Amino acid sequence: MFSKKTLIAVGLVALIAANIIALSVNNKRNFPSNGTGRIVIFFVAPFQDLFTRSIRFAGDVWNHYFFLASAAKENDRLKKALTHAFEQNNKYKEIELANSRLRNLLNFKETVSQTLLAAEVVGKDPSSWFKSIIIDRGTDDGIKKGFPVVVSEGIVGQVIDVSSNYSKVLLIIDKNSAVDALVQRTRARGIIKGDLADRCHFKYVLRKNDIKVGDTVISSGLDGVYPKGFRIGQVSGVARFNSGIFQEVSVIPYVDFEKLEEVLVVLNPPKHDFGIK
Amino acid sequence: MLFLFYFILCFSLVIFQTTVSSMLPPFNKFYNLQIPFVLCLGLFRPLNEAVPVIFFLGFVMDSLSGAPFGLYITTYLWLFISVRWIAIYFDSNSILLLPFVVVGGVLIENFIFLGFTGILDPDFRFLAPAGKTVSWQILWALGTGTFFILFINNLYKRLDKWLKKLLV
Repeated sequence: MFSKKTLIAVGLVALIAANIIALSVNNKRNFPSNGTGRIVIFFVAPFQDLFTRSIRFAGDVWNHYFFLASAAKENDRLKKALTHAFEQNNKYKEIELANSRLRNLLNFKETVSQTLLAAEVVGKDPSSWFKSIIIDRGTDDGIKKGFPVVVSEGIVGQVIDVSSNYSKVLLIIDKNSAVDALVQRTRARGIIKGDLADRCHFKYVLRKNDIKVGDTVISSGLDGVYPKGFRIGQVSGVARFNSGIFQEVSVIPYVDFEKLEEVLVVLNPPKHDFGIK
Repeated sequence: MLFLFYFILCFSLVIFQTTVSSMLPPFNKFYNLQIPFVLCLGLFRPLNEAVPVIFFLGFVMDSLSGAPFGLYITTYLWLFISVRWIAIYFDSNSILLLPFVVVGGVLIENFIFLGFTGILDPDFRFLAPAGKTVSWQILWALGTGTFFILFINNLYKRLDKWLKKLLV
C-alpha cells in the first residue's frame, strides 16, 4: 500500500515527534530525583573529586615554583591593594557602627541567620549549553534537594540532585534556573533567568519601574528557595520598547562561575508551603 | 571483557569531560569527546554491541548534567543513526571523510541541544558567544576528530585480536 521510502519518512517524523514530546515532558517535571541518577553521581563523583584535586595540586605546584618571577610583581600590586583595603575597611567599620546603632534604635531583628556548609566543586557540566556543578557534600552532610548554594559574592544556584556524599547544583546562569529578585535601590521585582552567555536576564520587570545600569539585583526570598537579600548581580543593560508592558534588563552575576572552586550550602533555607498541604 | 573495556573507556571520557576539560584552558571550548566515540561505534561496531553502550553513556551524561534527562541519550542515538546512514553511501575507512564526519557530529549535537532549548523557550536567541563556542568546537573537531576516531578504532582492533587469541 505504501512505498518503503514513505514508511521510513513517516517513521522518522514519528520518532522525532515522540523524542521531542518525551524530552519536553521530562523538562517540565522540574528535575525529578530518580534513584538511578544518584547512583551515577555516587560512582562518578569520587573520581571527579580525585582528578580535580590532582589537577589543582599540579596547578599549585606550577604556580608556586615556576612562576616566582611574576610573584614579585604580584606582591607590589597586592601591597597597593592592601593599603586601599585598609582605607575601605576603616570606612566600613564606621558604617557598621552606625548601622548597629540604628538597628538597636529601631529594634530590628537580626535577619541573617542561615547555617552554611562549605563544599568544594569537584565537577562541571559536560555540556557548554547547560550549567551545573557537582559538589563534595551530600545527604550525609544534611543537604537536601532544593537547598540554595551561595558564595560571598552572591547566589550560585540550587541543589537539584543529591547522593550520600555528592550533590548536583543547577547554576543561576542555566536557562532552566529562575530566581525571584528585586532591584536593591527601587525594589522593582522580576525573575532572574539564565542565559547561554553566562549572563542573566531580569524578566517580567514592569516598564514603569526605574532601573539603571549599575543597580544591584538581590534575591527577594519570595520563591521559597533563596533567602531574602542575597546579592545576584549588577544591571548591565536596560531596554524599554515602545510596546509591551515589560522592559528588557540584562544582569551580570557577581559570581565568577568559571572560577568557582568552593561554595556554601544554606542548610536552613526559608520554608514556604504556599498553602500546599 | 568487552564490556569492561567499554566501561573503562566511557568512564575515562566522562571524567575528562567533567573535570579535565573544564579546568585546563586549552580544552575550555573543546567539543564533546563522546562524539567521536559514538561515531566510531556507528562506523565500525555491530548494532547489538553499540546500542547498549550508547544508552549507558547517554544515561551517565544525563545524570551528571543539568540538561533535561534524556537529552544526551537522544543526541547520541541520533548521531548513531546518522553515521550508520552515512556509512551506507560513503567508505567509512576513508581518512579524508573522518574530519567532516566528526564536524557533522558536533553540529548535530549542538543543533539538538540548542534546538531543544529553543523549542522550550520562546525568548531563546542564538547569541554571539554561543556562535563562538560552536566555531571553536568545529575547529577542534576538524583538527583532532580524525585522530580520536583512529585511536579508538585502533584500540578496537587490538582488543578484537586479543579476544580472538584468548578464545583460541
